[in-house]
Amino acid sequence: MNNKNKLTTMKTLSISLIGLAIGTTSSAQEVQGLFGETVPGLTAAENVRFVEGRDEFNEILTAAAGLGPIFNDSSCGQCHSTPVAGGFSDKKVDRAGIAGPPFDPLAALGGSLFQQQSIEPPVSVINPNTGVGFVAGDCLETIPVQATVTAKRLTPPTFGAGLVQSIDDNDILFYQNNPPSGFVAGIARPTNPFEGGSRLGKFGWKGGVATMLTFSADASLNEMGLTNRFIGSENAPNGDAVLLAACDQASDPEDFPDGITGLERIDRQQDFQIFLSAPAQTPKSGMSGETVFNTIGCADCHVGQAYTTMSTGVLSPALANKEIKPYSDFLLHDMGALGDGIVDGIATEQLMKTSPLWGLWPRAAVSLLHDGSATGGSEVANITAAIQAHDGEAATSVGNFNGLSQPDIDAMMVFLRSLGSSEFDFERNNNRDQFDWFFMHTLFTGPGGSLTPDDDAAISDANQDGSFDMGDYSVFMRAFTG
Amino acid sequence: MKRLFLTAALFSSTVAGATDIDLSVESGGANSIIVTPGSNVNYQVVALLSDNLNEGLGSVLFDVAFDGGSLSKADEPAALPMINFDRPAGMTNPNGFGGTEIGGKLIQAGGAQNTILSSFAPFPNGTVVTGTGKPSGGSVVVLNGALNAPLEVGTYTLELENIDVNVIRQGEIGNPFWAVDQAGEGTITSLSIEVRALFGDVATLSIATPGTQTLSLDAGLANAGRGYWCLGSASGTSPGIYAGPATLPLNFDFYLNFLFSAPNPPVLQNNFANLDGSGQATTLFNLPGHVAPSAVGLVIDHAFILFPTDYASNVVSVQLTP
Repeated sequence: MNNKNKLTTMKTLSISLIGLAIGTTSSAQEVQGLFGETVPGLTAAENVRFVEGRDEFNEILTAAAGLGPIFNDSSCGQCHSTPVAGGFSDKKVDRAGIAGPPFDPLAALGGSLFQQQSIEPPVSVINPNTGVGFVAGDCLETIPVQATVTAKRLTPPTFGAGLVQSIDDNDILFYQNNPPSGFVAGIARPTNPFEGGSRLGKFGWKGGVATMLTFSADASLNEMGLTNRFIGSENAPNGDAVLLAACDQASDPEDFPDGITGLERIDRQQDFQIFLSAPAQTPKSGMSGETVFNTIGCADCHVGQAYTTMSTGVLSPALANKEIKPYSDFLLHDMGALGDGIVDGIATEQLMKTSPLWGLWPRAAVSLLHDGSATGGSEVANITAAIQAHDGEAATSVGNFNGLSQPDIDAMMVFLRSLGSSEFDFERNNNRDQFDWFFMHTLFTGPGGSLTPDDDAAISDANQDGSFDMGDYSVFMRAFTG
Repeated sequence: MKRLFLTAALFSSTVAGATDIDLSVESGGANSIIVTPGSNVNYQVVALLSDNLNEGLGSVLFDVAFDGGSLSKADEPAALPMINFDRPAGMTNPNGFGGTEIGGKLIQAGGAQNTILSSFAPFPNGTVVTGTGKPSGGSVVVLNGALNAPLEVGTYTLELENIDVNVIRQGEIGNPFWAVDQAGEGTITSLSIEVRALFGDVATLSIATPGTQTLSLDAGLANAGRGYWCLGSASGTSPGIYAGPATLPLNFDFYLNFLFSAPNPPVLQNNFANLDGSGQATTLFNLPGHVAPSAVGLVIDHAFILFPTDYASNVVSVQLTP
């Protein structure tokens, strides 16, 4: 048994014990998951897969294990890091090409994705382009000078990914075929997942990926340089195959099944992401700001209701037949000036997939939009900037937003603050501790209260009965994380 | 090593989650009592966990409902351990540990210990007492209260609803806080309160010799001084006689007809009079000594009504024996 297999065996045994235990706890079901927790109802075996997947997600890949030669970062968790593994971050990748028509993705020069880092072969290895030993940066890819279009793409979160994958394609087609208003005309994007079949794309800024296994395989290669059973060849630095041969340190495919479970890295990455809980939304419904959001047309694309099904490939019964609120129709829309100028399949320059808004508030504290350009201000300022940047099919809604009264804008922001807020996390820092209680205790009503979803105390009204009382406090005790 | 600790903790949580809570509503240690109309009834809610695989109660909450009238707030605890479930050491609703009176019920009576180790808010601010309610330490009275029995005769129930109990997870030492799990509902026992206004001192009378059954009337202080008429029947109690709005639970027969025609006869002394200042009176059923042997086995029922006829008592029976 090699070291990797020994390690895997130990992990599997210990994690199995954890999984057996986690699988029978129930208190977490009373409140929505914090970021990084699992969807409710996983089996013990699925909990094992989740924990193993999380370890894999955070494992730093070495050159010997397959990192590079060109890459953006050395683990999934390096970018998907905030507020916990699986999340978002301000890290961005580079896309570039020559504006058309037709658009030229500069594929021969390594485009349209240009990786930002590279491994460094030993100096004893001769750089075929210079005839001398490699020096730092020799394997690095650069954006070609020919490029006339460059685009940054922000790291999106993967929370609730398994639930999104489990949405029936027909539900997405419904919105394509039945636009909710005359201002929008979304387009579903057919894709062919690596694992076979045909599914509509739901992931990626351009909606080019339908499943988390395909996403994991694609990102492993394109973000980390890890070849795998679906993509067996490396990206050449700026398309230079000779340089690739000299820079590449590991034989392909670099990902391979471990000797115990038979799973590859990409399988474990998938396991972690599909079992991540959906971002919480508290209060779950009834906020006046959501009515404003709907009225001005935001919900025409940011659809706040979707259902998962078992008919789309059985990931897990825990993911099936659930009502979720991703606030996306998962369709491509003409965003006008907000388009990234990159063509990716049928997703032309102005077409961008509706970004799900669930979990919005923590992201708003950092940056928003595909390029992260709505940043630098408060959550409200960044959201406002992101709204104002909307164009194309969203222009009417932006106009409506600009016509809102300040109380309506405030109400809408309070609603948007609920996206990513879990019960009792008053500070919205992804835990439930005594500091939350310090702020919440003054809002305690006792039974017979008259709270509305718009009240601050509504985040503590776990059973949504209009009171923040001992019934809720009892749940708080069980959900307390410290 | 860290993972092993985690494993142990999670296993513990699994076991603790299996703990049930038994709750018993009692009065004087009994789940069934007989009282007079309007009398004061003290009650207690007694808790006992189903196993020792925990560190005791972390919180205990329930609604108290009574089908005999509105409840008043129950008592605040005055001693350990329950005082640690009350503000400020513990946490309760603003109306206090004794419940919030809404719709005649006590909503969310009880409280919680400071398992979250709150130290910045004014409450909870106390320490945690472990072992409360564990079988190893015996049951614990978690609530004391009192109610007034209804004036109307009948059987009423004082029961618990919406029970929500947290137990401290086994092995917890309060670092960094006391993790809790929700207890399952075990045996929940209500208190049955039977209100009677008429009591008999004996259940049988022998035909062999003259005998007396003393019938004690007690309609409660609220009915003091009212006129009463105690009547009898040898033909059963149902459907009784509608006396508007009360129904006298006696069927019409020769005995009842006789009593209607002759107030305060020797056979039923003092059956037609006024209750005293306490709402009480005494009637005597005097069985003569020359009753035919064929009467053996006969059941004679008595009950009374008050004037105006809006109140009827329960039935007291006596059976004739050889």
